[in-house]
Amino acid sequence: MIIEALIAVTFLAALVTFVLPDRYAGKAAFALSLIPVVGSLFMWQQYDASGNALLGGTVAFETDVVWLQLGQYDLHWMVGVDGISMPLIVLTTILTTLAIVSAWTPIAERQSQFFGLMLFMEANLLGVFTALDFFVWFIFWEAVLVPMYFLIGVWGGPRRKYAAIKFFVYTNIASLVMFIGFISLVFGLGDSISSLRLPEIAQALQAGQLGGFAGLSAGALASVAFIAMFFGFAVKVPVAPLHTWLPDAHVEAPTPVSVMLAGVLLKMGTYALLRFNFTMLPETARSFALPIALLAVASVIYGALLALAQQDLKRIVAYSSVSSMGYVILGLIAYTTYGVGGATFQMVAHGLISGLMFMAVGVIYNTTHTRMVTDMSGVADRMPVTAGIFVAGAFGYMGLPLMAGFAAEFFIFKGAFESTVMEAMPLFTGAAMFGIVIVAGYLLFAMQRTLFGPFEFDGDYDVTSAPFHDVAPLAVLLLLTIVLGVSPDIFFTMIQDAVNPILELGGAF
Amino acid sequence: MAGILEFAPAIVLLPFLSFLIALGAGRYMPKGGALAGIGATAGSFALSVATFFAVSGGQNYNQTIYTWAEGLDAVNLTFGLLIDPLSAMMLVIVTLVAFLVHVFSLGYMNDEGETGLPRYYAGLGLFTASMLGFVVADNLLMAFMFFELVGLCSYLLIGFHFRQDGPPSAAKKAFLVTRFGDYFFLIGVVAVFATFGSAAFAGPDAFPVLAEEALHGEHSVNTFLGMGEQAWFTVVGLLVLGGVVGKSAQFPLHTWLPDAMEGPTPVSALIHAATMVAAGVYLVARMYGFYVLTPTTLAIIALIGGFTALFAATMGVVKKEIKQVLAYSTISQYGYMMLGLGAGGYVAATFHLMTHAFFKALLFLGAGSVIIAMHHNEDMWDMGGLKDKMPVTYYAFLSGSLALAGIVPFAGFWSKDEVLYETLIHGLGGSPILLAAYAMGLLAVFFTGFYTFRMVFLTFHGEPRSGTARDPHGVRWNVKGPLAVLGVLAATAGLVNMVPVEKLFGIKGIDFLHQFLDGSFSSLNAHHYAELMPYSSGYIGGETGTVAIGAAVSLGLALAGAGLAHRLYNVPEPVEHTDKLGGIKTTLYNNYYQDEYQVWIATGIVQPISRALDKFDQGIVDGVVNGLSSVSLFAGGRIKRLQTGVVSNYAALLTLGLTALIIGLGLIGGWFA
Amino acid sequence: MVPPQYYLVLSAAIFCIGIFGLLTRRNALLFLMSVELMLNAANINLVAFSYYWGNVTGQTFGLFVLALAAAEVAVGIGIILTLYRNFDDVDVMNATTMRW
Repeated sequence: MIIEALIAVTFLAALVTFVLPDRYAGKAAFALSLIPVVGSLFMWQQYDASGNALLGGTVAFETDVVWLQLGQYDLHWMVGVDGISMPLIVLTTILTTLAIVSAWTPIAERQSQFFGLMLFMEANLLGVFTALDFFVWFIFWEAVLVPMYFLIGVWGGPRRKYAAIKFFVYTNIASLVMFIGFISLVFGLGDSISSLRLPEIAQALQAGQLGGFAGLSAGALASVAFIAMFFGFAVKVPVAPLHTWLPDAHVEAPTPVSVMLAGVLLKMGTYALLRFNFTMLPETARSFALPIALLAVASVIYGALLALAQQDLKRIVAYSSVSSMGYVILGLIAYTTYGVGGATFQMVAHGLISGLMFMAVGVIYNTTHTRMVTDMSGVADRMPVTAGIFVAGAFGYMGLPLMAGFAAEFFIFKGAFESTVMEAMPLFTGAAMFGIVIVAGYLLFAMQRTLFGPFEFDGDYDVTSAPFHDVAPLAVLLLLTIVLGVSPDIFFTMIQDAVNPILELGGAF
Repeated sequence: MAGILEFAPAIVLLPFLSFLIALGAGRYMPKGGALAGIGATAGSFALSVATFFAVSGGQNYNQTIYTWAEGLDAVNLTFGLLIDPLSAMMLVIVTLVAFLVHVFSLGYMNDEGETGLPRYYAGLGLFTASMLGFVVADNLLMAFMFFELVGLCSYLLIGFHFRQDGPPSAAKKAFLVTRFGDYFFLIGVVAVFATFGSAAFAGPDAFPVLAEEALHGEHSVNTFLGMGEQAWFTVVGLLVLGGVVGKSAQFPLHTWLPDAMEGPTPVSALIHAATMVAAGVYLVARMYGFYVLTPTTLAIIALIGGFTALFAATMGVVKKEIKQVLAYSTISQYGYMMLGLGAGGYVAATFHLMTHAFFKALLFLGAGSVIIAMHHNEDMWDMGGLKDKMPVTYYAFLSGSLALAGIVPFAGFWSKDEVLYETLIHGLGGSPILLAAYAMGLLAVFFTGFYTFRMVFLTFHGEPRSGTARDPHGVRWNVKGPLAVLGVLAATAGLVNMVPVEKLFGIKGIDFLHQFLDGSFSSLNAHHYAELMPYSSGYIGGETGTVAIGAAVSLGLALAGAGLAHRLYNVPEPVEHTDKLGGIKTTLYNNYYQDEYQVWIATGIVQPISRALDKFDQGIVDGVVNGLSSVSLFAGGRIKRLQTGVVSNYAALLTLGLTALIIGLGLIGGWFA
Repeated sequence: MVPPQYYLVLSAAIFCIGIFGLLTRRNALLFLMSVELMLNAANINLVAFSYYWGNVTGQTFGLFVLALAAAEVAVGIGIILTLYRNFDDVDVMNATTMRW
């Protein structure tokens, strides 16, 4: 019941915040968001699952009741946690709290709505990561878009409407395509399933129950469904060339929203890829290894090169997110413990580090009111602590050892290099690894121009040290990044436990 | 001494502790946290010396101490300590130099009223800790991780004066260029794991041993891309070598090092003598058992080393700033070490690593002393005549210079001579590549002698050429002390390994370093490497003759270079003789335009590509997305015109629709059949 | 008994007249009248079939439709009045503010 309680409390917190006066909203939202943090940490402490939730493993905190009936299918309220979702839940709650604190300074109007929507989004995100029934999962999945749409569209920058609509329409169309893909699988399974519970579907697919549908043979249906679902999730990740909504959304979104977008929302895509495509249709995934690896490498290199051309700090981090998420795809297709486990670990690591980077950019923006690299230099002189954390975060992003990013990237590289899905995986891995050079290039250039050198700033604003509540979330994130980097086993053991069953899956057809 | 090796982790942790103290509490402490650093490095040094003696007594230590990532059904990634003669020697060097640099910093930073000292001492502490962690690493992954941390620290310290334009740029360049090398290194690490399932340097599953056994067909390892074992090992070796070339500033990734002179001088001393740059060569020595299996890799190492030694030495000839000369001498000297390693002279290269650490730290600290005296003017043409004003610095610097130039009996002579000797005999044994590398190394000896003494004469001899040189700023004990210690070491460190004396005069047992390095694990000792080596030896006039000829030639060339410098520059009013070189000088002064082409790669190729891609992304990729939305908006805009607002039109459409429906139904229903 | 075809022909004819009026007239009042014609054409059908089958349900419906038609006229006249007030005219071609 703890999952239900967690989600319900978060919804309730959202409601309370929504009706509070603006003056108290920020503080109240922070206080209320601590409840899910404590709840998720408690869950983590009580966590006793083993194996993969979809493949017959023990699921922690499982609830499974029939909710309503739809034709031949029972719709269940089924939620539960395994080693893949547990870290993401902790990430979501912690990052939301920090994002709320970081919103105190920049959000000056309609605070109660803003913070209410943040909490509302958190509740839905928790739903996405815990739901084990397709219907429940899909409701949460779609419901995440709504607060995000308003958060960008109401509190965003000058082109906020364009960005919000683009984000909403793009991801919504993607969801539609994904939905068609998934439902065709359900139809292909025919009478062999009686509900839309993900474990039941995954196990039926493993048992070879997939039949033909709409004139397609089982194999062709699996391929079509795989492609449709991959497209749907790839938009969310985003995988190049389906990424163009991301920079616009990031640039227009206020900083705390960018933090949530990069930190958690992108992980929905990779999480779903892992849960659906790579767990349910492993054989099909292996047969598509070449195009998927190509897309992964393209995302990494293309995203990194694009980041190199940007002048807007937020755009730089946005494009580098595309690059980092490419690593996740590379790790997933590797089908090795370190590959898939590293990909999952990268979801958490990138969530922390990209959150850190966006927040750091936001703190600088709060005082300078510009994010353009060309508009300032020597900011470190006036904001030494922020600059210090910015540098540390940037090095984390570059994959500095003993920070979470390195652990994740190294796991992925190691897993991908020794992968057996393709003969040429070492080459793809080597090509993708070049991303670590480019990422160093653009972050070092950006830092050199903005943070270092003689202090110069054209704007009318007084550039001074950031207040404590702006810097504190940065420090917390940095600390978490280092802790995870020094001791990745905090999450990596449970992740491996959950992903290892996926690797053993044989072909179903 | 029993159990002293159990304290080895403290050697690494003490400087790390000083990093934390300086970072957290440095601003509340006297001297900005320097004392914590001095205490920590002194403690580390003491422990290292104890460790050194324990290792001399035959103890070795190889222990996994921390599981970084535990693999379920996969390999564990661990941290561990490997203390053998090589790492014990390096520990002593690093901690000693770090300690002296900390003390020197009191004079160079504190006394000069620098701000941001806690940051500086925190950086030094972390730098020392990272390097020590790298030195004791028992596997390649751990080595890589600390290797990268060393890179981070170099970034922080080179860019210490971040309020100016130059240092941040130099710091960025240093990190980026070495990162480029580390990219290959990281692939190498991953490849080692994928190939052997382990990256340990020593122990039962040490990867050099596994590689050796695989080549003997004793068991099989994974190779990739359809390569045979020999070819694949060569590839892996070259990949790891990428990191070495980057960090040890070998051609073509040497360009960051001269720029790194933007950092405070004590930092330069640390980087060049004992930490970052040494890390590359140390890595090759650490996994020498693997390199020695692949002749191609060895030949490439030797060629890179020989070429870099010569290449950098020629550039050192024309530089104006004292630190620039030293920077190029560093590149050149590390070239010798690479040459030694590539030529099969494991002990010789390690020996040179040690002596170089002493005399290069000395030279940099001496230069730092001169720079304090000159009020931070580094141009040698503004100096002159400092000999009488700062005798301690002068004699210490002279000792270091003699060592650098390779004049007997100073430290550099013995080690450089042994490197060249090993190259020569293995070249004569049927390896023309080594002979070519030897020729380059030999030629570099001449240039080394020349630029070293050009520097000495310009700085200390002749008449003062500026006001500050006439009235230099005094230096205190904290500057002189480290200089004196290192000055003695630079003069005497070579005596630990007097191989030529042994061979010429038949005095057995004075090659202490050889004996010491043989005391390691059986798979890691010099003897084992010699057995595996793919070279055979050849001599001119017997072993003794070759030793004598080799030593005579290299000493002669060094003296010739020094003599030429004496002739040209040891005069009261020296002039820029190198101006006579004309265009060659311009080329040399501009470092053979190496920086230009690398900058061009960055700004002339990568940047335009990224801008073009940005246009492509905004125009085409996003254009398609926006195009799709425009198409639907346009289509909607057209179709909405059906909604005229005129009731009659709606009625007409309604009627037409009904009619069409009826006709359609009729057609299907067969009414008109 | 008059065969039902005659009623149907009559009903169809009145319906077509109604449609013709609807499509060709611009005056809203004539519009309303045409609609009434069409409605009553349907009503004739109801009554005719009711008579034919000997079932009074149709007749009842006819009465309902008459009542409905009266109500409809009331609404329709109200709309026309509003139309006139807003556009100073009862020409349906002018009232196009709802387009697009």
